[in-house]
Amino acid sequence: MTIPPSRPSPEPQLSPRNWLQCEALRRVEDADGGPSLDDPATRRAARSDGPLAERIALRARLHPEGRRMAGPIGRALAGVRFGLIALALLGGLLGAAAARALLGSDDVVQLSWALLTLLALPTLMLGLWLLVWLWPRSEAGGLPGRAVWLAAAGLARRFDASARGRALAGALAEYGRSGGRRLASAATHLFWAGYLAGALGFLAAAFVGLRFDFAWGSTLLGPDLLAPVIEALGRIAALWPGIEAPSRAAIAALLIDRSPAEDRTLWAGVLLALLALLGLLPRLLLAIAFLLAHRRHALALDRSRPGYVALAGVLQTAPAASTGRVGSAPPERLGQRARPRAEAGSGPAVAVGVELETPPAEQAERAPDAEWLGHADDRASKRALLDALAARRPRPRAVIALCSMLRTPDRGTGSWLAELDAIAPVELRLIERPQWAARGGDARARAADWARLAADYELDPPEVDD
Amino acid sequence: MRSERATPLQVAVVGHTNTGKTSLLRTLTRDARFGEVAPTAATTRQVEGAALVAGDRTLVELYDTPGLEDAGALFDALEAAGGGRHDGPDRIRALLDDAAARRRFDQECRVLEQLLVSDCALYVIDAREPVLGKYQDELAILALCARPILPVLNFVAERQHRAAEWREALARVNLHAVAEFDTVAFSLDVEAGLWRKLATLLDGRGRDLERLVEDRRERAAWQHAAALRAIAELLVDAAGAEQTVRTEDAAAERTGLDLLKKRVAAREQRCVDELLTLYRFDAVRYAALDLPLADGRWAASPFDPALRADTARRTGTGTGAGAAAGAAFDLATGGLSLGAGTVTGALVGGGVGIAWLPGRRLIDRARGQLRLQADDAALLHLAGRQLALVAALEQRGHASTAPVEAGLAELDAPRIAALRGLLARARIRPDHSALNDPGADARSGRARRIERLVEILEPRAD
Repeated sequence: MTIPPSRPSPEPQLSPRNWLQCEALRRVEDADGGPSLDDPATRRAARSDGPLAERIALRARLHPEGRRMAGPIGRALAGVRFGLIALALLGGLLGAAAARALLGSDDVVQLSWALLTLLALPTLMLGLWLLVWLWPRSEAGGLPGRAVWLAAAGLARRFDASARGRALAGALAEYGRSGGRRLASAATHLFWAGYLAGALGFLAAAFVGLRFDFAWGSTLLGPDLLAPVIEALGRIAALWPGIEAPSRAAIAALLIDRSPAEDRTLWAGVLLALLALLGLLPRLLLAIAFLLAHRRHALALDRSRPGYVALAGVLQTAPAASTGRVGSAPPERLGQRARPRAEAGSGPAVAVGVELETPPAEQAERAPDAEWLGHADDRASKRALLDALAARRPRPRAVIALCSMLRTPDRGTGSWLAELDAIAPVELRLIERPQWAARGGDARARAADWARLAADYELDPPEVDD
Repeated sequence: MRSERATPLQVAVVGHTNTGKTSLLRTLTRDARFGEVAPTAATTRQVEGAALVAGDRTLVELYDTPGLEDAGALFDALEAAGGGRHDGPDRIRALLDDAAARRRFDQECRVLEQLLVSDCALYVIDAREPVLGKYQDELAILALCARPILPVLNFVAERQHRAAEWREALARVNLHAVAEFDTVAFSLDVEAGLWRKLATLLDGRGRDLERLVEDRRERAAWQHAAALRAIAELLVDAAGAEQTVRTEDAAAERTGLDLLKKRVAAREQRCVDELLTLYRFDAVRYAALDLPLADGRWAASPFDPALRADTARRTGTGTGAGAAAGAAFDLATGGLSLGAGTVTGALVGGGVGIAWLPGRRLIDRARGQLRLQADDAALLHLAGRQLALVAALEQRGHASTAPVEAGLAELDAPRIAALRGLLARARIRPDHSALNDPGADARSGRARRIERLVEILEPRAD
């Protein structure tokens, strides 16, 4: 029969706020020697339903220290949001500054230089970000994005030097390092989107209010090489509604000297459309995609952290639980003999072997002072030995019962020995001690067990051979 | 996945006295405190239950029963009472209704009563024992209860066991499905085999038992991951732990060394406690060996390869950060200074990285101070014995009453080399050690180092 494997239960995920609360509380408690396991929050969480992560999150929400963390966590997250906006604004300012630097005093815009500084650099950075993002095991979400996390963690540490501040800083850094990768990427793209929007806005305003001519300057590259490139860029720019692709004559004029007056609108439109289509649009789409991904993404707690491991012992459903004892209390005494002990007879002693591992041929040698009667290994042989002993005339002086130290003395053996003892007095001899020792058994303890059995059945204490 | 039945599977654990029934329950429940275990007869005198839980559901209820001790006489009593061949449960019930029989066979009656209300039984056998007549009598009586029985051969990890002899004897009474399960030497796979074998005897319990197997596997994987993390954190803390002493005071140096040893030893004990709690062996005491922290002094030469490697790493990081800062500066100036700003940024970032590390040592020397740290041998020793402890705990049944004996785990050369490299880097970051800085846990460099250490500590699957 084959059994289809069951699917492992998915790891529950937490919201960033919950996750940070758990993580910060864990850090505070770890610094204090570990979590408290006997407090109202823990007891309440232990009684709640749901998987371990949810119980840990509930405990963090109920715990006084966790509650005190809630405010700072909210402020830190608000700070992160503020950081995103500030980053986008900074990008905008930088973009506007870069655009300003392009507009020289001679009213000529070098299209080639403008595209290099305003479009090529962000595209290069986008390529680098993509490389790092796709790199296996990379943590990067872009430098500006990481800066937001580092700043948040650093500020939390700097402004609150208490254990709580340190814990919050650590939790934020951890979140930024692992879980905040998407948000860090969104921040990076927001920065560059701001940069391009700033540049676009500044250029658009300048083109509305000032008159510029355009040129495509190059010292190294000739018109034969540049014309197809400009034509291709023009076709891309024409994808923007209202922008026309530049004609070959317009391109030729641009490459010879500054563009003629009638082409000013055309080239201004091409520059703005290229910045919007190749620069701003991809960054904006990526920023939105990563913001949405961040909103939808929840984080799993790393349950292998020592603090959570300690909590798991209390909050996690134990692999097993005792369900208590069943039935009435056991009687005080289990073994009892049915018949009294016999007097010693006048006949020679006889010997029996009880569940021995010594080969049958050698068993008799272990009781040279007695006549060998047989070995008792099962119900039939035990019954036969009882019958044979009862039939012996004159009755034996004693029955030497060779018992094995390898056997745990049990009531079945005790009651059978008591039956023998009711026919002729039983002398217990314990053998096979070396075998018991080889098994790692404690000979003294086992002999004591046999002595207890003998006492229970009112037999003489056993002798230990070997 | 929906389970096939809502009620837990009821399993009676039965067998001759002192064969390891309670031990089996301790191991299956991972509870070293369940019941009472002693190498004597009649240690368990009353039926006691334990629920095996996966997720939020109880899947199996195990019932530990007293040992069978007088099956021969009980068999005689059943034969004397008469009854047909096909009404075994009725014959058992009649026996249970007989007050005199209940008095005489108190333990056996408790076992039979439990078996009648259970879905199946695990018949625990001490596989070191020969197949004696009394055991065959027990099987014959248990068969009258008409419940599926899975014989479980215990103590099969010992050299002189008779598993083959037992299998042959069990096959003669139509018990062909037999599980081998040593309650002292634990194996997750063997435990899974036990549950899967039991599933073959039962109708409609396969998925529940498979879920139990999966739950146990998940827990084991979680425990293992947590154990390696605990060791990695210990190593980072111990490697970074430092004690500052005056260089010209031999007595102070010795005191400092002792203090460092004590701090590391206390940290190790915390790790041991975490591991014992993690594997639910909190009652067991682990006698830690004395830490071989010989010299305690770590050569802080700026030409130390580890220091240089770390400096190079830091220089690389610094250069990257600096260059990025430079690029941002270029952007602010509209690209007109492209190049110059980037170079300046790289120098600034790299310079900070280079100057920072050896500088502190030089300052120490000027102040007449020396920083003591654990050496490689001590740290590798710590790693080796903590790994050995984890291996010992993972292979230890909860029934084992012997003290935990864990030596040193054998580390192969590539792992030792990787550990030495990583620990050398951890040493030059005392701020990453929680023994020096309570805020060390907040540092992302520490977290990365711990993750890398966990990867190194995890033995490769060959």
